[in-house]
Amino acid sequence: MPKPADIKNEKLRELLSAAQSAIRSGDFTQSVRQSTEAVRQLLIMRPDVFTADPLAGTRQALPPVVGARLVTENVTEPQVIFDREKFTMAEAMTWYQYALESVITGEARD
Amino acid sequence: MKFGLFYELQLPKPYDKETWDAEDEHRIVKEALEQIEFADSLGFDYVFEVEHHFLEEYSHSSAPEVFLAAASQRTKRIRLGHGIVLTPPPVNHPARIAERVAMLDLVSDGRVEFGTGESSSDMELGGFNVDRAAKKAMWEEGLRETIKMMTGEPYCGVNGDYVQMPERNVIPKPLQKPHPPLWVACSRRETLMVAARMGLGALSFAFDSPEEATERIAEYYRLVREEPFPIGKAINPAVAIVSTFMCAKTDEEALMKAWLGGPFFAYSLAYYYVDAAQTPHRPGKQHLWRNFLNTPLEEHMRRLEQRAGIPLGAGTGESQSQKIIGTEEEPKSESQRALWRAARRGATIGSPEFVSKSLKKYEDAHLDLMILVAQCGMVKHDDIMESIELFAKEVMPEFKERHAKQQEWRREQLRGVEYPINSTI
Repeated sequence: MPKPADIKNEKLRELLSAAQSAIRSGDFTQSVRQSTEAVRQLLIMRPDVFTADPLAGTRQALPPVVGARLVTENVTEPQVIFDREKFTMAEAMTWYQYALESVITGEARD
Repeated sequence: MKFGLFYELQLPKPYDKETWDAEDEHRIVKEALEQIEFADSLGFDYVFEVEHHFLEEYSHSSAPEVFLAAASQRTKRIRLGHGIVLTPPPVNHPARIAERVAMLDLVSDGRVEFGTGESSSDMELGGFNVDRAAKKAMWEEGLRETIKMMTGEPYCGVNGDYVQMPERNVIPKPLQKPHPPLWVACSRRETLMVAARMGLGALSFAFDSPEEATERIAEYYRLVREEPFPIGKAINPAVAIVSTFMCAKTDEEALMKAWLGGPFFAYSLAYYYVDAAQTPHRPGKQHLWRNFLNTPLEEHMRRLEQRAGIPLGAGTGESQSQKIIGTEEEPKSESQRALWRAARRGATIGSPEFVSKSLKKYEDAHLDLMILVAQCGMVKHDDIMESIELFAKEVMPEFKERHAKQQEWRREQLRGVEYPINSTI
């Protein structure tokens, strides 16, 4: 399975590399912010990633409900709403993994 | 690959009545215990019992520690798994979890597998006033403190976001040291990799095809090696998949017997976890079994796919599994094709020959444990007993013989891991 370094898009690669580093350094809140931003950017660039692709057979589900929400309706572009200011290790890992798999799914469709 | 049984204690209402008969709950509990005792005598390795609350017909197992304690006194060898305990503190205080798991470990002579989870149904979260957005944080804090209570003498106390407790010595301590093997339920795909990093066995409900399982299991073990952040004092590197199950002498017989089980399992799962978000369940007033029988199965599956965004291959050609459908690999006969498609979605249904062939693909993917859901829907107790026996006698032996190879592969994967390992795979 690809790692952040394998991501083609530079902006997304930087965000997810930073999210991974933040987990390693124990800054889980910063990691969630980087990962959710990556998902937000991906929503802008590739909204198709979040719908099931009949041909690719991908299973990319809706984002997790883990202390932060992606708002796409009634806004000019996707926004991230944080329910809390502080996040835990499991929450950071969940957002990071979701963002990573979403980006990889998107790039695999190119 | 090892094998286990999985119990939700499903109890559909009788079709022509508005509620259950007085003896129904008593009957399924006694039948399930008999099945587990039988499975133990035939060499099954694990039994996992869920904790669910308020999910009428879908699961009547809200006190798994009591059920597993009963099972412990009727069995000798089988591992007794919580599949899972809800660790968000509003549902179960960590001290009560630590005490109950430890006592179960003592009365079972150290046979507990400590599975954990957070729940995701509105019925359960709402019933205990758990904020959905905070449930993962609650799970983590609840589990972290439970482990400290199991291992600390005394437990140092905590002033956390969700648990506040002064210093106490939480007793008894579990027989297994430092604590029983730890697991987490993975109903979302990314949770498998979170489990790897946190040193937890993964109880996966993700309907992985063998090809997907191969890739994801390899990644799981890579993360165990390369990105460890263990939450426990010992890690439990292991991947398990939960699969609907029916083994019979012929494929046609297995299909016929399974018909009233697996599909209802899928239907009731979708009802509480997907549909209820749109149309809330009315406690005590709805009749899932009747609704299930009155709606075409394909319609149920299509709705589940659409609402969850998870292609399950309901015959619409929308999943990765389905990509192969229509190719030469797909069997020509109708019953074989139905079983083949079910197997591609992780179901274990068919004759011993068919089931063995399907499971071999998961063994090749290095799956550690296949957990079989035998008791579901209206599947009859006698059919379950026959299925368990046939599977144990005609399918399990060859997998048991080859399990040493899996253990060798695992040892190789875990080479260089510095953390203590407590795993029964």
